[in-house]
Amino acid sequence: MDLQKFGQAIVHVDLASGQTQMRPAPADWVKKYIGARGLGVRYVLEAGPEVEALSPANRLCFMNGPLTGSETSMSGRWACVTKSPLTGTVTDSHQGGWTGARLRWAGLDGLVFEGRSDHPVYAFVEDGQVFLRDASDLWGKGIHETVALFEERYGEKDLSVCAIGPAGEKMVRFAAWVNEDDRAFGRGGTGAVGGSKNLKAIVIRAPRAKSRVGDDGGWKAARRTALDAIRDEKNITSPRKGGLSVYGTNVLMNPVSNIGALGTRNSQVTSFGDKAEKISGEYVKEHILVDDPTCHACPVACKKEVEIKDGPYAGLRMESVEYEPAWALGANCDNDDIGSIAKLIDQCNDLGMDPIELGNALSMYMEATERGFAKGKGLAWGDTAAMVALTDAIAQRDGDGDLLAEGPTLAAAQMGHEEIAMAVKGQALPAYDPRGLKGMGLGYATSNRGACHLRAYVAAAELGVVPIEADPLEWKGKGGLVKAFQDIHAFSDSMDLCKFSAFAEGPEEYAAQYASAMGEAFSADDVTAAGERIYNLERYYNNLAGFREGADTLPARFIDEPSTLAGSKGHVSELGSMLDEYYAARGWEDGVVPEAKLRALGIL
Amino acid sequence: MRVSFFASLREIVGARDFELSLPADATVRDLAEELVRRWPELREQLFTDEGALSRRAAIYLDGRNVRWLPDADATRLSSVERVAVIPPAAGG
Ligand code: SF4
Repeated sequence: MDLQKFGQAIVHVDLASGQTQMRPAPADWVKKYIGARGLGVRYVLEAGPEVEALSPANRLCFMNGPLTGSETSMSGRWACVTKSPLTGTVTDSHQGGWTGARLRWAGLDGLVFEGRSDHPVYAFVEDGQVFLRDASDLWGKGIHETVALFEERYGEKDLSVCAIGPAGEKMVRFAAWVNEDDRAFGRGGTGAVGGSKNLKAIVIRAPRAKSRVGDDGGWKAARRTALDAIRDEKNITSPRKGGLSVYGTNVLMNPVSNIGALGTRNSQVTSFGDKAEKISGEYVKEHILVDDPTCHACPVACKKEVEIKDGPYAGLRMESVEYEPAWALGANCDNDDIGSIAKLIDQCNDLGMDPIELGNALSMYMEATERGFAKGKGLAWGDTAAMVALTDAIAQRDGDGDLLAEGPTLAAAQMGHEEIAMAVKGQALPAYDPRGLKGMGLGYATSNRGACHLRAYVAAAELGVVPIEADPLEWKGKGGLVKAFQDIHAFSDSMDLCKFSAFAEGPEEYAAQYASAMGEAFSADDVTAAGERIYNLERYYNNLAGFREGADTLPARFIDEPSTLAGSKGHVSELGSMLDEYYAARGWEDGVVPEAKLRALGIL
Repeated sequence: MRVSFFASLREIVGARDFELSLPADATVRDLAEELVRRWPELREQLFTDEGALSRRAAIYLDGRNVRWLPDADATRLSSVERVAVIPPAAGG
């Protein structure tokens, strides 16, 4: 089966009237902004950057990229793009699994939701059409039960379900959409936007097709070259040999703790010491790993399914114990119990919440308790039973949970101590301490969706897994490096290929695959140019939404409190110096894109 | 001095870590050679064909990759407490 050329089939859904309309994406938007993340941001911009994130006027876009659903390796991804209720910036988040691919097999490239339904609904997608159906009986249910009920209703075969849980319905500011039971549009609170619109789920029925895109000869060759790179034993993506494939993302826990870059106890210190081992990828593999699931068209299989054998969560079988949530709910909360970490991640998958934000909300609350200014009952470091109970309360906005459902930044502000929220632009930090990996700190500060490891992921250079290497403790040179990584990832997120493809592929491979899929000439330089344009489009949105001079910052802890532990001892983030370099490389004025730059990039 | 191994290197070595004593003036290169003497399979992880220290597995002294130290593989180990040997690792 040949897939349709990307961009022709975007369905606009007005949730207030129930009307749907198929329209092609404007051709110049597809050309300039590629798909998925870039195209989604352009649709969200059209609704106006001043909209309230949880109002009917906000747009909620689910966007495929030009390669989604093809047999291109690592192409089983799609993006959710909207204005974030957590940050007030534009945000995009990406899911693996099969749901994005299935949307393509059902004949669609994207869904743009507007308005608000007056009762709970779900969108049923089949044969290129979208039907809104009543979801009143599903409101209040967890995601695992919701998926099971849809599978009962429509049959398991050829079905994908992407849903919100109670957290989205209650508009927890870091609520997530989850598909395949456990793959999340995790960051930015996209699930709360779904809840605000009374949209419970997207259900897609379409048979799996071995699908190719674009011109046959060129695409096959481009796909083969990229696949060879992914399989190359010297790359961490190498199936069943590379660290990412064998141990999953949690292969990072021990190394990052070793170099003094693992934020611990709400980033009060920079290493989890010997306790890191007990929550590491190595420990998981040795003790609880039962399977290595994958996503559509991916030979890497980095997902890690586990079964807990003893303790209060014995019998729990879940996926996936990833590095980020294992850190957020582990070292960050002084918790070295892997069983409770698996339980908390599974709660996030079922309730529909971002575990990174949850872990930071809990660790912030633990520090507030330690310092004696917590509102409510408080929470002790590493108290796993209380963490599990509070997670349920957050999703339901019960008691102390209601405070933390606002996210760590707003919750800390309500306690009068914003300084203990480890966040940028309202979104919490991921698992790399900016004192031990300085480029990552600059990446957090300048990310267009609030603190984020994935916008730049210069850790790949700072940890030495890509040919460009950079000393993690040197700030000089990080400005240009972060810009280059942000631009390339803006492009890969718009195609939409898994982020981890960048451990094996580069602009040449991306260009060849994109060119053959779209049937047009496209070079490596075009890849970086498009990435830069998309990054500036997001920044333009944020500038219009009020994020201007001085908005690119880090919590004072990383600038004023030197690391005390080996690897990064004595270091702080030299953010000001790095920002000077970065803005020079970007051609921005203190974080604001000048009009001339917007015109030169074709955005205006 | 405690020497720790991570990820796939543990499978070669068959242990998480062990105590190692080397002469007082030993360098990083001496350490790498000692490791290869004990576990010959580590050679392709630690050395290039030309005999330089490889970038496949990195040696860290008290949390610092020797690649970024001024004396690199000639760095002396006398004041080092903790050595880690780590294959390439990254993820999300
Ligand atoms: S590398 Fe992992 S996250 Fe990426 S597509 Fe493959 S299995 Fe999915």
